[in-house]
Amino acid sequence: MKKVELLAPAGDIEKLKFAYLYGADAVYIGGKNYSLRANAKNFSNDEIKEAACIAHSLGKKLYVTVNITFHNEDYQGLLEYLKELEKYKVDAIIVSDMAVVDLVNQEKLNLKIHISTQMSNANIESVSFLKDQGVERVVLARECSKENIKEIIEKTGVEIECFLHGAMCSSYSGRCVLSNYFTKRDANRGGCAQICRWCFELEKENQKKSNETEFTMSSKDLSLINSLKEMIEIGITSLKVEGRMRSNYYIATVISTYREAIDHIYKNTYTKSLQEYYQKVLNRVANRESTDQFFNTFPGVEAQYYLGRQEVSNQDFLGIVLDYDKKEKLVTLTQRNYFKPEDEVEMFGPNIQAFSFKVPKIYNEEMKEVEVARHPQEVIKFYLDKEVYPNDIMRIKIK
Amino acid sequence: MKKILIIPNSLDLLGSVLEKDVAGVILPITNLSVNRDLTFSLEEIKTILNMTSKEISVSINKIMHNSDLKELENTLVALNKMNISKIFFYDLAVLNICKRLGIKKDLVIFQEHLNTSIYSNHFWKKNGVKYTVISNDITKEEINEISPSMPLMLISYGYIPIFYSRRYLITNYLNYIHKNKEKGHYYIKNKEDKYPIVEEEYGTTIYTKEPINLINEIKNIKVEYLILNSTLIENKVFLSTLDQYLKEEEDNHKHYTGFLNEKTIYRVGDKN
Repeated sequence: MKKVELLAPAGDIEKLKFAYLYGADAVYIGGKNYSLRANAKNFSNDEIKEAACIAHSLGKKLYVTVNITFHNEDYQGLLEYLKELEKYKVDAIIVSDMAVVDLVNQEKLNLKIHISTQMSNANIESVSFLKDQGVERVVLARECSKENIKEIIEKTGVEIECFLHGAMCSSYSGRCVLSNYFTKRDANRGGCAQICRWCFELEKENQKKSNETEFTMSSKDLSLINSLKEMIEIGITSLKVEGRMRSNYYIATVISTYREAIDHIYKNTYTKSLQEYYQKVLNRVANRESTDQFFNTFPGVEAQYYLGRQEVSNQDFLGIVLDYDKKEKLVTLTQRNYFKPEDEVEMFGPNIQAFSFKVPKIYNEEMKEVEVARHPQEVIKFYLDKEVYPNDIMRIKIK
Repeated sequence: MKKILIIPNSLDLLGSVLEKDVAGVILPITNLSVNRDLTFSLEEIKTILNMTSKEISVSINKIMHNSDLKELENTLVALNKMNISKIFFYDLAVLNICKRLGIKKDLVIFQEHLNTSIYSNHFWKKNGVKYTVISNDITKEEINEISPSMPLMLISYGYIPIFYSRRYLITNYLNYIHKNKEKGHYYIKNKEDKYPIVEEEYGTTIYTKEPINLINEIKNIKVEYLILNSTLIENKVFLSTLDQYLKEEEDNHKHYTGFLNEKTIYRVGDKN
């Protein structure tokens, strides 16, 4: 049985390396143009080329989003760009406008096409139509239930990709232009200003109906860690993590957690206690509540957020390992958040099983003992018996 | 003169507009349509077809899930035997079923905010679509550039749906604050602007803060059909606006025209 693909987002080369290192089978990125995160850093053509080389040297895949809804003017330079992507041998492009599908077919470009969730495909017939256009994969609407997904897989034979984890649109994708009409920023061309997370007064016949808890449309995040086994069993090809603008820590934590969980499922070693632990790790990393949204049941009030942006910034991420001197058993790391001796922490990384320990005495770069690590990017050293590796991450112990 | 199609909000209004010099009406189909005040069963559509010689078209704009497909297919087969003029659609399932079953009716792609270029319209034309309802999110220059590649229609009067969720957003919120949903129109308020928000069986729609009205622009826009959508508009106001359109009578009001004369911002920092 072909193993399910774990698909990670990356907003720059460093995040891409972290995603692969921490267990992603494939990564999706956006170029400087034609991508739905227009205000993210995104990848230049040279960086896409470099990203493809990194992916292929690791035996992994790289997908590039070309997923805006095109206006006439956006078409300029598109063919040249697609030819560049073909030259870099990217493994697929992710598309939401059939004009791009048409162009790829017309020019006989050697580019596989994945249809973006922006098209909100949720049924056998629409997926069959896309199959006839030579599309290899469809990212289904986030509103699909488990039964709906299963039936599409069984009846169409098209590769199906589903969202596994991350933020949700509260509308059907492609049918929300609140951003256009509230801020003039074009939602379907990458300018989404997340109006669904704003707070509003709700009125009826000039009477205020909302109270001190104002009305929002905001949805809680998606997390399908508790349905992961079923997602694999129904035959989904690729499980997608949302978040091209997320941090290295977020990517490393989420991807490594799902990597471990998927591997346990295939080895038949996945247990309830492991599942509960993974859920705790995932809950902490985003600082937003999550639910399974449409996968198991129709989401109601419990799947919505009404308290505005009260999530505090996550301070679990303590540092990244730069080096480990095996002889001296000395860890060198760069600090990311405050920590001090006696704090309970844990290390995790692509080559180690996560383990916890109490922070011993800590030293600065000149090996002078310090009381606390309080400065971001400060180099901190301490002795540790267990071997760790560059790019392993130290975080607060998850209990 | 451009032809005019009406989306009616009530049977009263339907009766009134059929007596006027409009080309026809677009009737949303029950269970397969969203964000309209009034929908029609196939039996009701048959009755209306017998009452008039005007173009009777239907609209199917729900996002289809597998559970909708049987009803959708049966509906399309039935429509194929009826004297309807056009089928307006959003979901590609409609196109695929029509292709598969050889349904001969004229198809009109109406995807609200997608399909905004010459090139996407080339694709739909190649795939048997006869008309496009072009998005209100683009400028008149862009519409006029697209026009030679596809016969176009445009919503020239009415509230534009700008958000559609499968969730029951009003009910959920009122549950959260322990209140009950009441009959009548709800609005969300942003500064002084109020946006209608309507919950129905298949989810929640938010509309523009006011109806767009392109009466002073239509002579410069190259489209074959104008669509006047009466959803959420009082009949008296709607009929008076319709009369103005039928007489092609411009006025001195500064109407809300959406993005007809102003581009959306692609990237923050862009000047356009």
